[in-house]
Amino acid sequence: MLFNSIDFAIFLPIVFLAYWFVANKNLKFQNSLIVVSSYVFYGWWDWRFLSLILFSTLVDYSVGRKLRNEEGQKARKVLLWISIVVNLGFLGVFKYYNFFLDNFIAAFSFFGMEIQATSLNVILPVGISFYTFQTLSYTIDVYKKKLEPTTDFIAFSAFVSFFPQLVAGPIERATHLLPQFYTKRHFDYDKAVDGLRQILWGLFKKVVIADNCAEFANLIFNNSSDYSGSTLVLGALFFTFQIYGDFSGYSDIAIGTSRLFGFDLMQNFNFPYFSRDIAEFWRRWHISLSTWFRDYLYIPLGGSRGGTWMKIRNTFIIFIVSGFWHGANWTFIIWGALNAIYFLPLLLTKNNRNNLDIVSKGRFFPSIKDSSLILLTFSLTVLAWIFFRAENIEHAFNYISAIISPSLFEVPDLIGAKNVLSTMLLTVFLIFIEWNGREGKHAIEQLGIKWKRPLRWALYLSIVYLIIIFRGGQQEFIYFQF
Amino acid sequence: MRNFLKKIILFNSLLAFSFCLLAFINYALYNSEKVSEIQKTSNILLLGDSTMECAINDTIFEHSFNKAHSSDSYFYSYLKLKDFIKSDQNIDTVFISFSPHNVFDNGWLKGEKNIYSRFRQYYFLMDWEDFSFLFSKNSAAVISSIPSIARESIKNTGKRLRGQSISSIYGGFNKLDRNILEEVKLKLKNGEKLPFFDIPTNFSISENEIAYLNKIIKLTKKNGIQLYLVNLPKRSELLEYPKYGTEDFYQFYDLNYSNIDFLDFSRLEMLDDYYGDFVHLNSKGSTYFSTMLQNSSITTLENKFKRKAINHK
Repeated sequence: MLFNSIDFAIFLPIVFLAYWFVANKNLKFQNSLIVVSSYVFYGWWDWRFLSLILFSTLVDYSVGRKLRNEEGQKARKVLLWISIVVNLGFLGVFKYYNFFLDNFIAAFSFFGMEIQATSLNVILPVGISFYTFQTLSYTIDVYKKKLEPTTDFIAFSAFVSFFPQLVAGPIERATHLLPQFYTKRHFDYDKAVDGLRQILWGLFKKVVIADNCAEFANLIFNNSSDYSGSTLVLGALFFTFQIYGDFSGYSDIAIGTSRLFGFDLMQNFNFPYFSRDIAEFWRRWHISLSTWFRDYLYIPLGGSRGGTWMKIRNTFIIFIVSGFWHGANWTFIIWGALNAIYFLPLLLTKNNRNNLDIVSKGRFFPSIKDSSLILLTFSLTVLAWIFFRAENIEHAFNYISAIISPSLFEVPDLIGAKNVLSTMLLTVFLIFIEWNGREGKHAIEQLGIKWKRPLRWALYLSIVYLIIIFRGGQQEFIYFQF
Repeated sequence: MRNFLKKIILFNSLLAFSFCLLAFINYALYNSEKVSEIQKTSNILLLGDSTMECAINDTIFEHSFNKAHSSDSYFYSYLKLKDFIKSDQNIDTVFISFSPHNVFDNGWLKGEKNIYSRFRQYYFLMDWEDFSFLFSKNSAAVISSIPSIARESIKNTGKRLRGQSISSIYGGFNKLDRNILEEVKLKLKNGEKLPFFDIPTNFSISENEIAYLNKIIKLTKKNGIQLYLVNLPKRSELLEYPKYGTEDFYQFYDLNYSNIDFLDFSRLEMLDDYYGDFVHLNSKGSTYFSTMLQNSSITTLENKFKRKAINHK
């Protein structure tokens, strides 16, 4: 079920009312309703893959229970590996099998050996990369004794399958989300209202910004050889805002929906395009994944401790794995490696933690220095997104080389096309609102909060009408494919 | 919680009210323009899909009024006819496109994209029966296209403020400037998908289309209007293409509609230059065809083109 679909618009109020009016008697009812609704939510797409979620839940729950009573280090390690193998095994089969197979065949063929192998004809279960990482976080934390294993199967099932963040995150840590399923939720008016505001803004980002930008980004990337350098730059910019609107919009809707049910999810995007260097960008983009890799991969590998080569190795590993997590394609690996290259100079010169504060805090206009840094970081990000969006590496390089041509200084071909100008103006509006709200947890957290009700409601109505008037062609969320 | 729900209901009521207001504005805009648009001298109403839309230039074929529109299901033709009959008593003849792709399953009525683009324009022409018919065919698409009514209304208000006409969205003669005949010939030969036209995927009769074709027949009879089913000029390559279902189509007519006059221009000899593709006449073709209609009396047309049903038994 898509957040931007009519199905969800019907599903959400029903679950909301059932949750607060029928299941509010006790905790078990509340958690059970969440499990049932989450399975309905996921099964709406394809009920067959519910078995994967159930299996993953059973394995990690059982491993957790066993770890509770097991003190022997060797046995504990075996249990941990069972969970890792099962969860990553799912990912390996459904997501990476064909990629590895194709590359093995290509490698053998390079050395003159032709081998025959059968590729799998399977579809990628939606959200598999998200919920497997979430359950893994539970087992790893239990293994490390950072978290007491749960004995409440319903609560654990609700944690794994919690529908707002099941298919595209934020990837929650068991230490943060699971305890919220142990206590009965009570309705919090302010939290629910803020949740609705965040949903509204998330919908704007997805339906207006991402879906409109997608139209032109797809057109330009799919026919890149036909366009001038300046149009290709425009295409890369459209994709830059498409992916931001799409993914951060999803996260906003997920977080807002959770708040309606009394839950707090972690912030997943913190205005990343206002970052002053790449390190700051990675502290603000897909935070739940970056911190997952930091805690469960980078730090166990030694992190930034050790010698220079160790730092370089670990940085490349984390960025390349992060790229590979997005998809079984060399483009994602190059995208990850490119970000590692951007990041390394900051790390090696110990400048990676320079910008921990909010940019131009308390002021509306940024300083010239901040503006220049933001623009530089943004440009590097746009360049990297070309690899992320391209069909293959050759396409990415052709795209970039076509940009670096005299036609870069021409007026972009599509500038007069229908809806291009309105999409650009709406993107400027997005940037303005996000800049204005960058000190909050989401862009409209404080917007109009102190206004009188008629004015505040006029603001909400305006956003609703902006969504209705400028909605783009309905597209799936990009991150569903990951 | 009670306070929260109260405010949610209040906000949604406000939203619904503003929505109804916009829907009404849209209706008023349509009505005000329609009245001035109808030429009181026109007595022939042209309805149907893009074949009609591109074939007859109503400035050449005098006394006709082209309101056909690309991919118009008979459902929408019926709504337009009903509305025109209500507001204009001069109409005594209706030409409506009638080709294999109109009666075989084409998905025009229940297709999500079609509903999305048309519901917002035609909702106020539907009575309860029409609405429930459409709703029963694809309720999800109908519901999800409701918000676009507001969008349509705002767009139309903007157009009107800029002094532009909004009536063209309900159909009208389309002067086609393309000629891709050679390209589509090649595509048909290679079995590729044709641009601007979908060949029916199966020859099962579309019950949705037939239900509303029957309603059109009934309505014209009731109002003493002469109805002509019209098969517009088409390329022989397509007519002879087995998957187009030409023979099945004629058989279907002979068995079910032989009491309705059917002008079959499909094999009218025309230059290659007159076609935009297999089924659409371009501007040259429409000028030629409209002039031919203008210069021929209805009796001449009937004598030359009216199909005589064959007894298939």
